[in-house]
Amino acid sequence: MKQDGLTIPGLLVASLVGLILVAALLDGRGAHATPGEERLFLPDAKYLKPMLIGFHGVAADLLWIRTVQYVGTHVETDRKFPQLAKALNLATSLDPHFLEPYRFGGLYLLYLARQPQAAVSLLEKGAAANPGRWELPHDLGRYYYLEAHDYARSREWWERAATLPGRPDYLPRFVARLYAETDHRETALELWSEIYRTAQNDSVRSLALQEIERLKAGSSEGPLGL
Amino acid sequence: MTVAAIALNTFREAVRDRILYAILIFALVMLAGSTILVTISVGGEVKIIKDLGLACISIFGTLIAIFLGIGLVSKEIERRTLYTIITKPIHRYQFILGKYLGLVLTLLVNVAVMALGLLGLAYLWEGVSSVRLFLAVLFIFLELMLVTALALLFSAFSSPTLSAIFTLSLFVAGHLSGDLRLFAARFGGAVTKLSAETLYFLLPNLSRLNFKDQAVHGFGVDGGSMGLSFLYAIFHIAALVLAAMAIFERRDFK
Amino acid sequence: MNAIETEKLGKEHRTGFWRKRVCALSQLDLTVAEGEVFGYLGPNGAGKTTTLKLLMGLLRPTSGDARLLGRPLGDVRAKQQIGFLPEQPSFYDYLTGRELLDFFGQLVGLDRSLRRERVERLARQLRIESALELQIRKYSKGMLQRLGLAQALLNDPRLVLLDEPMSGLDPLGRREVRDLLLRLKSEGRTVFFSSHIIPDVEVVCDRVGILVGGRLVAQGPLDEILLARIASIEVTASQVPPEIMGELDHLLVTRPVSRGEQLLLTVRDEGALAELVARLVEAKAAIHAILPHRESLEEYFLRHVEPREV
Repeated sequence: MKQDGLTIPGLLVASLVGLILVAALLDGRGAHATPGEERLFLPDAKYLKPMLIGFHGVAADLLWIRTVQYVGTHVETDRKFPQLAKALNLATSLDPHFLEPYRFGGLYLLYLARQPQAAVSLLEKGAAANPGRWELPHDLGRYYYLEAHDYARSREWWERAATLPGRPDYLPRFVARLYAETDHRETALELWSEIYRTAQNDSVRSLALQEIERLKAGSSEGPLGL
Repeated sequence: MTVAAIALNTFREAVRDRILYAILIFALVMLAGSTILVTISVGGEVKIIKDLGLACISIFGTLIAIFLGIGLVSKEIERRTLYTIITKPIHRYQFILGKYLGLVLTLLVNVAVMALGLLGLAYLWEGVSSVRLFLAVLFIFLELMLVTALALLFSAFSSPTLSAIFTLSLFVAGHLSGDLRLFAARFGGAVTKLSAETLYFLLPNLSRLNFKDQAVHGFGVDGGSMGLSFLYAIFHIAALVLAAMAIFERRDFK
Repeated sequence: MNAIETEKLGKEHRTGFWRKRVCALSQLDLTVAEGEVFGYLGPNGAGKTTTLKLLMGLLRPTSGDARLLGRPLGDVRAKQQIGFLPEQPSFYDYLTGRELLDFFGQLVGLDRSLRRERVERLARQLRIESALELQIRKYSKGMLQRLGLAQALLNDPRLVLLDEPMSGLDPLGRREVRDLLLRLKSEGRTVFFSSHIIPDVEVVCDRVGILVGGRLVAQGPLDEILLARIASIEVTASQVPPEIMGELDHLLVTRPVSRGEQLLLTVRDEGALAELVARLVEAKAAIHAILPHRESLEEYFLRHVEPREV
């Protein structure tokens, strides 16, 4: 009995040492280093949603958190985001009224992954699913204004956003300026300041800061060459 | 012989429990149902069958592991059936090992039935048998063994209800522990980082045993990582079972 | 060699939120010789079950030590030669009686043919043959007790420890258990069993130990322990002249009870008895019977419990 009392703790310590060793080796190999990669293969929302038996909201949250990690990791490494659009699409399909994936996802797709087409369709999907929210038409207008320089489309979206409750004060002013077709630099500065103010994430914030400084310096070249 | 006798008796208890059959039948119905689901899909049939099949094995296996595991020891104490067992000429650790292996055997049979169903379906659709799918099932089984060891450990010192709560929490935390560490590394202060790092090493990192995606999409699997993941699971299971033995060794049975 | 030897064996439980210490057994010094039948007596809650659990390794002592068959507590080789029946035994109810006994037979290390033979023999002896193929969940309380006795004897033990073996049995069943204990004794086995009912133990025990409130208050042959103290003596008399009743009053422990013609007078001890008889003879009363009233086990328990509670 005494002998067993000694061997069980002994074996226990040995297996804990082995455990930590193997865990460290595994981390070293980077087999599953980034949890984002593990979920690289995203099922179709059509099949996934019924299987989540009512927990699709939570699933969308988790997926969004993972996506943010995924973006964060790749910003520091290869700056390639092959799964980003798909992940955002899935998260927004699981919970169509969850705005952050549309808004920040849109920014990621535009400025990090450089997939404007994907960004526009994501935001359009959001605007269609949330007709009462000003944020998505606002972001679409911003895209057309800042990136596509398609001022007519920009005005269309912003006019729509300006009619919705809770919209920022500057929106009617922007619409007015667009009708007058003047002072694009001032508008761009205000837009980027707003992005800087509401950013919840370092990579977005530093991007906005760069843009603001560039605009103040009077340069016309974007940081990402856009 | 003692351990085998206890293991076989534990297996017999599970086999005589109707809950087990209910879970198994439900799992097989779900598997069969996936073939109906794919008829309304456009493309990706085999992927859907594999995704659903692996999910089924994982979910229903976990249900069995937790719901039978939490009672492994505590139910014996509660019903006082333990008194006539450990007063027989056996060591207490033999009892723990026997109970654990008995439930593992039960899981093995259940996973085998479900896996045969899945591999059969995949073969019918694809015409080739998938080694990767088999490997994914093997790692699901390792995960189930680990969850069972967790349940056993809690069962050695707390009630079934508490054990269920602890095991479920650790199961969820185990799947998120990678995120936890990443999150702490990104945002936390020194204390947060240290505690997250400690938790990360203590919590079972169950995502390390997840090879479902590789199986479904047929990516190359790095043999070295797989081997290490296998060892990782084995060491974790050994540590949990030994901890359960150490606790059980000093328990009083009032 | 002694079958059981305990030295200052004690157990404290910690209970409640404050982990308050509760003493379940204190400083038990007990010796049971090999071949003896020892009755372990005491009221409910005296610590009998605690003692048995300590001896069987289900509880760990907080003080003292004990040896069974010359080996330390929990020793597997000692357990090989010990049979144990817990209080109100409970078994895997999904098994049949035969499956359970066969499983236990494996645990005690019997091979297949020996298991078969032992199970048949014990089932016959304990009269549970007809229930062997029945699931244990369908067993009555008496059947369970018999099954429990059968499993305790599976390994042909030298020492048998039984916790309340007669509880839950009808009078016939009690008698059978009593006969079983006597047979075990005649086979040279040592039997240690607990009980709180005196007729159970009177006939079969060589010696008893009496446990009250976690302490062993007496140890020895039952007669010696109980007869050592005569509680009172009853004298039945008639034709007692009423005028002497006043003089007798100080001798009596209770008021005289009249039964028709006769009068029942109770005195405390022999001294009082002599004086009472002398007075009665003097007054020409008729004495019909003198009956010493020995203490019952219950009274004995009460006498030892009460001072503690004051």
